Amino acid sequence: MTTIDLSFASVRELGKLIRAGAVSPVELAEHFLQRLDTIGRSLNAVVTLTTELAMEQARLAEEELSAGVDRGPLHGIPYGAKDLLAVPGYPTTWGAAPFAGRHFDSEATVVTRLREAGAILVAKLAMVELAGGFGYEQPNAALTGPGRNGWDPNSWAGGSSSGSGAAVASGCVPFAIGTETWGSIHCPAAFNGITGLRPTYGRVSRRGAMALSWTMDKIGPMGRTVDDCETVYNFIAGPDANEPTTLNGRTGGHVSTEGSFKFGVCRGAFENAQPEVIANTESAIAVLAEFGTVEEIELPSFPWDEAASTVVIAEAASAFEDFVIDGQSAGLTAPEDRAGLYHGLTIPAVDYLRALRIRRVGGEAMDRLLAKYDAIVAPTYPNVASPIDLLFSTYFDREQRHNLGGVGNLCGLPSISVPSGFGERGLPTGLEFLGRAYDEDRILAAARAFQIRTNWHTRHPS
Amino acid sequence: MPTNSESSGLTPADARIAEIEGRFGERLTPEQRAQVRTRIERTIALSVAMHATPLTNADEPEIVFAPYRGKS
Repeated sequence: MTTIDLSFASVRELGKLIRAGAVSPVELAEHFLQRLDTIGRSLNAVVTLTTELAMEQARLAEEELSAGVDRGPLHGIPYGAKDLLAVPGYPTTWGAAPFAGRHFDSEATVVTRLREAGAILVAKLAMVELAGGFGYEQPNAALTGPGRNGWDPNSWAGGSSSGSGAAVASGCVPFAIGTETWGSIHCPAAFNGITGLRPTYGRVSRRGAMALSWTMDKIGPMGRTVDDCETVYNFIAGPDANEPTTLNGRTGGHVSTEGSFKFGVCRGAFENAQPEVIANTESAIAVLAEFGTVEEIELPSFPWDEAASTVVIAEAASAFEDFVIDGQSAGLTAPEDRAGLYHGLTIPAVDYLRALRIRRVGGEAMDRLLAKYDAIVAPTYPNVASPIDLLFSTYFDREQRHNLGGVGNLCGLPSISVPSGFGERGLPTGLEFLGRAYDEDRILAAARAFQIRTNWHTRHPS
Repeated sequence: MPTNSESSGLTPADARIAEIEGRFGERLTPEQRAQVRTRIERTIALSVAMHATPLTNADEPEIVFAPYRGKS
């Protein structure tokens, strides 16, 4: 028997326990299924428990490991997947009531790769309906109800990977898969005090995932530590012959945490943040200065958020055109989502193309800036999670909007969010490391070095 | 040269809203109509902001078209 709390152990710790015979994959699967069924459901973090599949995969992992077949660090480790990834035999709802009973026969590439790595799928996790593409304005915008925060059920879990964030934070899964078009990994990661990696666009195959925005959707891991996220990322990233955008990336490597790093700090990104967020960020910057240089920077001046919004709205309106025209959006949960994308049908093609042209010239300017640094850092969000029953506009001051999300997602840049402390109402805050395209290895190393010197990532809800 | 909507006295927002009303008006509540108008006005503001960034004829969109050829 182990004295380590299985619920909040890292992937690496769980792997050691399995190989030491202290716990079996079947016991782990049962443990996390039980927590998902109780705590996870109370947070509205679960769409479907994949119990039968999980137990089958856990028994197989147990047999293989007993026979000396070791598939690596994820072998026997349970995880949850955002419910926009196709899994045969289970519903894939996209978080939306109109798709509550829909099944796909195919398996998402990410799920395939994790299965081949020996990971155990225990749940399909809740999300904001249609990944938030219809413009939700408050937390109650999901088939499963408002996503509740792992630290405080009366606060929002963030979106759109709400269940992935809350389930990891509350010890219901060791790691989860989330997706981000604009903020959907980073927001729930920061709000729930966990680590979330948004890879470079095209690093991880989107095959079998719901499309919201073909040129901005990314898939990435959410876990307790940078180390865990890197472990998962190494299994899910890479070319997929069935997904052409994955075929153009440069190959990365492992960067040591021992070297000196160069950081750019964008203080303009958080000058209007909540006071605790500013204080936590300044403390974090002081930690970064222990192992790297820190320079003040300004972002190139482009209409990042406007171009990103135009791309997302136009592509989402096209991806869901039939759904909107057929009137099916009237069945969505959030009232504001029911007429949510009609405006997208009116965006002129020239505006969409202008946004893509700005992406090109702006992306080149960002690359010139990022070439000088290992990462640009800023608070992931300038605020903590909002109360569960408030309109976002009531809590989030528009003037406080962070400005790395628009540029980072428009340009397809990799970024990782790590816990940086606690703020208003005792809720977590996050710090973002934004890197050059395809330089996941550098931001992972920098964030890992930060976690070596801090312990925010070891905190968890009581 | 005025656009069609401007020459008809409609603002760009009015023209787009008229399009949505014409296609889907019967299914929209007054609140939803107001929401659609607000969101259309926001997308027009996005366009105005983007047009403040000068682009040249050579500034291409990030699109790579690959002509399809089957395996046979």
